Amino acid sequence: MKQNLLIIDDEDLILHNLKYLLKKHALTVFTANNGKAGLNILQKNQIHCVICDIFMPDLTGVQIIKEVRAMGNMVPFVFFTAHGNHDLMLEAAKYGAFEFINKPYFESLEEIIINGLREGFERSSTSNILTKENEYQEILDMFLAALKDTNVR
Amino acid sequence: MITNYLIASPHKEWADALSVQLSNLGLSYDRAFNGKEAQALLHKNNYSITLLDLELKNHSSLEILRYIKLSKLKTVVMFYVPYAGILNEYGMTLGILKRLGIMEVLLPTMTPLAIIKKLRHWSDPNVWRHIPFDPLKREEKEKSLSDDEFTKVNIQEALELGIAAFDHYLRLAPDKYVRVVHQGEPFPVSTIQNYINAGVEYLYFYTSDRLEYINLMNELVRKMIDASPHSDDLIIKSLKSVADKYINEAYTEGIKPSLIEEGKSFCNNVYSLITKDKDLHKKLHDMEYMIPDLFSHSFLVSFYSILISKQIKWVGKKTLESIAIGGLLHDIGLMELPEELRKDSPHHLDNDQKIEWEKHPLLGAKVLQGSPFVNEQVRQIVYQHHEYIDGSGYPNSLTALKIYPLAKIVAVGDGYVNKMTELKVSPRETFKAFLLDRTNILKYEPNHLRALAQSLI
Repeated sequence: MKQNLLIIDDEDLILHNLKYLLKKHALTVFTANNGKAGLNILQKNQIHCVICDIFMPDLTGVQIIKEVRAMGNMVPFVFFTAHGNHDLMLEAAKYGAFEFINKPYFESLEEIIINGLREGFERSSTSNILTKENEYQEILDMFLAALKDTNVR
Repeated sequence: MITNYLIASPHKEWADALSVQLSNLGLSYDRAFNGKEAQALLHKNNYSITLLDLELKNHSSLEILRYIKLSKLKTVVMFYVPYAGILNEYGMTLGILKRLGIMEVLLPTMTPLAIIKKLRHWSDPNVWRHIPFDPLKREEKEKSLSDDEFTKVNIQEALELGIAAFDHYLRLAPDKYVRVVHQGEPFPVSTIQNYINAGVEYLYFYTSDRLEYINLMNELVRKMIDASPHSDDLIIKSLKSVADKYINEAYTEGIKPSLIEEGKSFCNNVYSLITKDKDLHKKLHDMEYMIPDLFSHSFLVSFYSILISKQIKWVGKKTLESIAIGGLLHDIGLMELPEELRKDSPHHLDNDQKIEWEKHPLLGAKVLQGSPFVNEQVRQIVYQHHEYIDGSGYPNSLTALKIYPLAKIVAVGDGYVNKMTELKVSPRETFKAFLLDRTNILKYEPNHLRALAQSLI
């Protein structure tokens, strides 16, 4: 099942090229060339993954993710990084950055976006503590059973 | 990796001497005598390293540097300066130069061979493949040399190398060494065996040769894994040796592109070994080098992180490499702390010491910030490897959805290895105890625990 992708970058050429490259992986690819437009799209649509530049004239990527988290939205964010903005990356990490892509090399771009969209879809379904508790017990039972089998053998 | 060089300098004598040595070693290079020629060559070709003479004319070296940065060329830039003091005159420090993208400063006092060593560190540490052995240079003379200049290697491991890629020394006393194996020479087996019989445990080599050593060992391990049958014991010891030297090299010499490549080779070797030998993890516990020290710990964390990742479908090759390198370097921040705090767990520290110790993830991320060749994935693994999904971690008490996914994997590896070191029982018994500690396992994602369980069954 395909999900919705949002790309926020002040360089129109990057928006155009990324949309072209990634459209096969998403249901809809939204684009925004500034932070405020990006936030507007997020408020009006269900977005499963955001690709965001870190440095933009109106809002930085950190300000954008901070506002999105304040809205209670845990959509995965993939940030473009470049040498020299390390402190911003550490700051972005505090709000839950999902991945980082190095500009201008864009290594593993498609793999990262596929993972981001999948993660965004999973996050949109609730996972409560009780479910996780069941999982831990299941893992323990599975492992103990396997150990017992090995000992018997 | 492309390994050719551009020498852009109007100083004919210096450039000629360097060119001759590069030719002797079979390395390819181009020459430019002014800035315009350099720019034309850079436009046409790819160079792993560009040497710019500060006194370049007809487009200055700084203009060429600007061209390189704007064109986003993947070349490492080094400056040749006529004398050391010139940088002070311009108000330039090494820090400023690095920010401008200049990775090394070369001086006229450096010999061509010393310069080539620096070049090879940045582009390709396979220099050991080209070393000729000159039997006329054989000698054994005791030398007074500082201990700080040397790195030790287990004598048995050294023997496995077959041919010495660089000089090896015997340590007679503090700061006293004698060369016993010469660069390019086959290791004299009977002589080395005599040393072993006499109780000698280590040989030594110059720390400046450490990157070549890492490259050599990675290559050797790759061959050992491909050989059938092979000795897991020896392979694991060699991988551990690589990990130990890797961390030291990263911390003391900085992280160069060639060191990143060696991290990837290490990752590929561990992955190949795990794939070939499904029961490998069982053998690890029996091996004597499960002694808790910072370097063994980092090797094991990287190893188990790769083991976990192998079970996770969405982890691709590049991601796996980042996890492997992140695992090796996750505790590099401890090197910034006083020696008494450099432990991989804070159990025996008092409250004040624990507060200091918990700064190591941030310190580690800051150390790695200094290298433009470390990717953000590795940095974030180092920064967040003590964040836990229940919010009990540090430095930022993040919870599940906010923690960087790759850091969560290395966190499991780290917690698990700490448990194994504490309990000193087999990997399976350790994991059983790990799972039974309910407070502990709530820190980790169930799917990562499941992946580790599946690896150990």
